[in-house]
Amino acid sequence: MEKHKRNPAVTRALIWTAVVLLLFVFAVLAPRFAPHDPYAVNLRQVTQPPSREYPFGTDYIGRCILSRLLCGAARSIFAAIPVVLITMVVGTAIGIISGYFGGTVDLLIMRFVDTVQAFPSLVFTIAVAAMLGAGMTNCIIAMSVIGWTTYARLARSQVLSLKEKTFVSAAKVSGMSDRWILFHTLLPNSISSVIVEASMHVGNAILSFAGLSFLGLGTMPPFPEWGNMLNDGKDTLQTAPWTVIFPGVAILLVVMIMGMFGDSINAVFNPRKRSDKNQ
Amino acid sequence: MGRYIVKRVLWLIPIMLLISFISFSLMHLSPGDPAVIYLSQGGQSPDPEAVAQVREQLGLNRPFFVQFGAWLANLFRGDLGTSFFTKKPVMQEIATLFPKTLALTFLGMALTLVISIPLGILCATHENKLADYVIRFFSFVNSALPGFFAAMLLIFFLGVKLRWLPTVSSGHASGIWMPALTLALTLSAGYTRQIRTAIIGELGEDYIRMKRARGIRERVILYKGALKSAMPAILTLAGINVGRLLGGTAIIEIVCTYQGIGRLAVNSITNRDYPMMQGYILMMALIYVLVNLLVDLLHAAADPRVRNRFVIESAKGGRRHGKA
Repeated sequence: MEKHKRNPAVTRALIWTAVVLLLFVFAVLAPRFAPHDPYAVNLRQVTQPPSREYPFGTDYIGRCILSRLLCGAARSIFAAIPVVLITMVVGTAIGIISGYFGGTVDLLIMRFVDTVQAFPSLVFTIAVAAMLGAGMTNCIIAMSVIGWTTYARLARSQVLSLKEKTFVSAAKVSGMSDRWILFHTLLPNSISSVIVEASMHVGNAILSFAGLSFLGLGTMPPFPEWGNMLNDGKDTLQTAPWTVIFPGVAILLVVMIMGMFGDSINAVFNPRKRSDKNQ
Repeated sequence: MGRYIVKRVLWLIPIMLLISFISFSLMHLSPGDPAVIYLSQGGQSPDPEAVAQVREQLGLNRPFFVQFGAWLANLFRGDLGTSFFTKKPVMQEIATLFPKTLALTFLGMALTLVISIPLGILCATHENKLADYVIRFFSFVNSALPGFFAAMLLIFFLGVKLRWLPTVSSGHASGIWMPALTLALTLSAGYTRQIRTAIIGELGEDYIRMKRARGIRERVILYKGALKSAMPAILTLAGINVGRLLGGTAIIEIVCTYQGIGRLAVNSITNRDYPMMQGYILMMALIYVLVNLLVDLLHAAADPRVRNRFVIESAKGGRRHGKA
C-alpha cells in the first residue's frame, strides 16, 4: 500500500471508484428528490417544455420527466451489475478450465465460444429476451447468454501464458491437485485482466439494457427506466425534444462515468498500454 | 496451406450444425404453441380444430429431432420455411431486405473512415497537444452514446431543424443517409482512436526515422509512409466489422424507420414470427462465420506463421462486448 500511494494511476482509479459508488448511492436515494409522483398522469399538462414546476418538462401523458429520471436511475444502472457478475464468473471459470486442461476439452469449448460469438449479439439477445418474456430478470439472463464468451477467451489466453511459468510447473511436479493449481496459481494470476474487462463491461451492459428497454423488453410500462423513457419520447421527438434529450443525456453521462472508471482500472493493471489507449 | 484450408473448412461443418441447432431450438424453447401463434396473427383466438390442422401441417406433432432433421433438409434446399406473419417464404423476405442493410453497413463504414482517418491523423501528428485532447474528449463522449439516442439526435437536428434529410427513411431515395450517418457517428469514436494508435505506432518505427534522416518532407513521410503502412490493418478491421455490423444495425433501422433486415428481425420477434426469426439469426451467424473464415484465410495466405496456429486471436483482436 505504501508504494501504491505514490502511483497516480492508483489514485485516479480510487477517485473513479468513489465516483461510481457515489453514483450508486445517488441512484438508490434519487427517488426521494423527485418533485412529483413519477406515475401521475396529467392530461392537461401534456408535453410541456421545461418550466419551474417541471424542470425537465413533461412527457406525452403529462408525467414529470425529472421525477421519472430520478426514479428510473436505480433500474437503469443496477441491471448491468448482475450481468457483469454472472458473465465474469461463468466466463472466467470456463476459460480457465479450457486453457488449463487443453486438448479436446479446450478445442470443444473454444469452438462452442466461436459459435456463440457468431450470432448477431443484439438480435440474439432480443430473441432470447422475447422468448423468455419481457422483464428485467429475463433481460439479465438474455444478456448473460452471450456476454460470458469474452471472459472465457480472455481467461483462457491468460492461463495459456501462465501455464508456461515456472511456478505453475513447480506446483505440478510437486504433485499438487488440479484444483489446487487452478485456485491457487491460475485464478489469482489471471484475475486482474478479468477485473479490467469487467470494469469496462459495466458501461456497455448499461447501454445494452437501455437498448432492450427501448425496444420494450426491459422494464414494463408504467415503471420508469431511461431506455423506456426514450421509447416513450420517440414519437414526440419533433414537437417536444426534451422528452428524449434528458433521458438520453442521463444514459450518456452514466456510461461516460463508467468508461472513465473502466479506463482508470485499466491504467492500474496495464500501465504500459496506457499511453496508447487511455483518455 | 492446403491442409490449413481443409482443416478450417471441415471445422465449419460442426459449427454450422450447432448454429442451426441453436437457431432452431429458439422456437421450441419459447412459450406458447407455434400453431396457435400462426393462426392468431389476425387477433382472434383460433378454434382448436384449425390449430390441430396447422400442427399437422407444420409437422409440430413429430418428435423434436425429426423436426430438426426436416428443417435442416429444407435448409439445404434453400428453404427456410414460411413467415407466420406475411405468409411468404422466409428466404425471399431476407433476400429482398438484405441488400438494404448491406448498403447501409457499407455506406456507414465508408462515412466512418472518411470521418475518422483525418481525425486520427490529426490526433497522431498533434499527439498530446490541444487538437489531440479535444478530439479524444469528443471521441470519448461519443463512445458512450447509445445508437438509438444518436439516431434521434440526428433526426431532430438534420431532419426537423435543418430539414436536410427526411425524418422517416423508408420510401425516400435519400433515406439511407440518416441511418448511415448515425452508424458513422457511433462508430467513428472507436476508429479515430484505433487510427491514432496505429499511426503513432508507425511513426515510431525505424523506417520512418530513416526517411526523416534522409530529409524527406514530414507530409510525405506521413502519407506515403505511416498512413500507407497502417492502412491494411485499418481496412482489415473495417472488413471484420462489416460482418459484425450486419447484425447490429437493428435498433438504428427501427429509429430511422429504414426498411432493412434488422428491423425485419426485431419486428418478427415482436410478432412471434418464429420461422422468420430463426432464418434471420441463422443467416447472420452463417455470414459472420464465413466472413471470419475468409479473413483468417487471407491472413494465412499472407503470413505463413498463421497457418500453424489454428485460430488467429491477435489478428481479430478478440471480440469486445458489443454496444447496442
